[in-house]
Amino acid sequence: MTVEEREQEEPQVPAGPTRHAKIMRGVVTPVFGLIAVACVVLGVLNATIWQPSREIVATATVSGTRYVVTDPGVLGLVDDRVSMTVKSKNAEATVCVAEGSMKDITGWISGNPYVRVTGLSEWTALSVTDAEAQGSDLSGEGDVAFADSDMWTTVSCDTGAVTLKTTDEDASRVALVDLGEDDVSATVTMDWVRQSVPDFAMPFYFAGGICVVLAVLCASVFAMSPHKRRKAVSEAAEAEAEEPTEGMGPGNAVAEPESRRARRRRHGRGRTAEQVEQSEVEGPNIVDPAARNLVSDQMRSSEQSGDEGAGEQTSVISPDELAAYFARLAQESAPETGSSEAESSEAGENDDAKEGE
Amino acid sequence: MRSRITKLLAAVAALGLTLGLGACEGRIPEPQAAPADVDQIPDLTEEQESKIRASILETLDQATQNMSGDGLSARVTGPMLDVRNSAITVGKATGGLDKTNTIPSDMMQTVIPVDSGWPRTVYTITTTTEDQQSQRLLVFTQDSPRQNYKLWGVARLFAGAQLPRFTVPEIGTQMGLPNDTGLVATPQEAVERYADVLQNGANSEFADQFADDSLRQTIASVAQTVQEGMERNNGTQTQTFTVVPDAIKIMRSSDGGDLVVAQINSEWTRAAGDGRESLPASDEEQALFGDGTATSTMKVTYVNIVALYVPPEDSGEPITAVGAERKPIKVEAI
Repeated sequence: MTVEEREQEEPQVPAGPTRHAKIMRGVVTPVFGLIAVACVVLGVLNATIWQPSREIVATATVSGTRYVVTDPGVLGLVDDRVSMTVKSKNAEATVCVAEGSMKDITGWISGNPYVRVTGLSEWTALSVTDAEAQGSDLSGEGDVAFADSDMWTTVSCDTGAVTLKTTDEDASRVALVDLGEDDVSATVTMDWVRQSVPDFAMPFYFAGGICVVLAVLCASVFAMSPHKRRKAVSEAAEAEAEEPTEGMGPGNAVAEPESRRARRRRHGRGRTAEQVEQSEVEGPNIVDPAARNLVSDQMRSSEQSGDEGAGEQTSVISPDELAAYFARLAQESAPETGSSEAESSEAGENDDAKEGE
Repeated sequence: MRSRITKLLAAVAALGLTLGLGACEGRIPEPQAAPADVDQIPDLTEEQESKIRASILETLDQATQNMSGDGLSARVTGPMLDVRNSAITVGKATGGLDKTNTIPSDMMQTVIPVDSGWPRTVYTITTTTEDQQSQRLLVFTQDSPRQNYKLWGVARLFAGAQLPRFTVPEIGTQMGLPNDTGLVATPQEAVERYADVLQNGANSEFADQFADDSLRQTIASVAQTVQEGMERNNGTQTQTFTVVPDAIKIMRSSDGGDLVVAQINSEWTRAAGDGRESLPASDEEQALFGDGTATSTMKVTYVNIVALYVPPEDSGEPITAVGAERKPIKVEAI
């Protein structure tokens, strides 16, 4: 194809945007844009009014017991620091909460029924269950008052209601409540202030960001007609790929196969012996026996003999090559979108490329 | 019309789904399982031990100030209760507690058990006293979870005594049993044999199983002196040592041996001959005897708290007494 032919052909390309571009810019981009806006809005909502509350307060009502014991790990369930409040129905009763090791507490309540606090049933409710401590009641003469026991690491007692603030880092401590008398009812409240609140906003922001990027791409690169995009890319690739070979001798094993491959791609599948020869003579043929690299020579000869895989594996795929590949893929997968003009202009371009060499 | 209803339903559904996304607190946490070695954590922290010791010493100080043993039982038990009551009685007669009853408030080392059951034993080794008396080995015991730790015994460590090593209090120590094996003798046997050695001295069949110590030497030399005095007027003296059942506390050292603290009671019967009266042999005995009427025979009951290190079987070492306390608690003329 000559320059004149090409000039004649150019006016045949439609002046307005193609159908492909219309769909991309008119449908896909707004869809991505809407999703992006929705994601950002949801993200902002999750970061503000829907933000998980920092303070978790869970309550349970227990009845018909004297002792309440938390399971190991319940004190530090939401956060290491917890404030446990026990309010007896009997405002006159002395209520105590102590923190100690499980084995000490098991010893203290041995043989007595108690209520276990097993965890959270929901964010505002503690789950409780009745239990009976193993062993026999060990209370006897010379016993000390609950508050005076040596075993507790912390203990606090008060009339009617009491609060114990404590820290449980390794689930080794449990809390024991003594309501002061048998068969009473009480409310147990645990209050944690979360140091780390789950961040539900960030995933939305992230998805929103991706949608924005996709929308921009759809409006620009993806809306471009495939052959246009490919031409721009292949020209850039040629300029880039040929440059380094100029100054380098046959000793360079990396640059040469790349430049050959770039050319091969442009010409489509298959390669004639003529083309190979062409590419061979193209690079400056400096014969310097001292700089001769046998390994690269070997590689070259193996490449010539048709072993393309070896060259492919060792080389790096440049972004331009990747873009060109995607462009071809898009074209192949959607042949109906390309008009007959586009087909013919593409053929012309191929011819041009051949001529250029 | 129908499409409007469909639209309305769709809008409601969309709104509901969107709201469902919000107001979410995250997943409800499950309690993390307790660490597998939760039963292996020490029964007390060092701070707790310190608090307990301070409380016990306060009780002792209170009793000393009041010169009365009332209220001691809240924090003192076992042989130590007898020893302290006796010391107060003697102190009342002599105008103050003997210096050997001093217990320093600072500690060098504490040995805390990891055992789950009761009774529990805690050893604490104090510093030397202000007047450079030797360190004290304090033995605390908690008999039941509903009771507090009480001072069960105090042994004054012998000069130069080598105590075995124990694991640090943060890790905790296993309590031993009276029938622990793998040792040169079980702790119970060791105490019984030591009682025999105290009674028979070098003539005991077990004498060579024990390293020499100052308690043995003192008892032997005092007995020798008294024997000589008694022989001059055809009197006799005998001393019998009896292991008190179940009065034994054991902690396993890190080298595989046991540090055993046990109570051995002894009765010293002195019969004066030639129609003479048998009199108290020391100021302490005199104070305890008080204004009692002396007869030809005097029986003095001593409480001996002995600390024995029983080494592992393959160590080839003898059993060593590392500390002891010996106090008369009763003097009677019979």
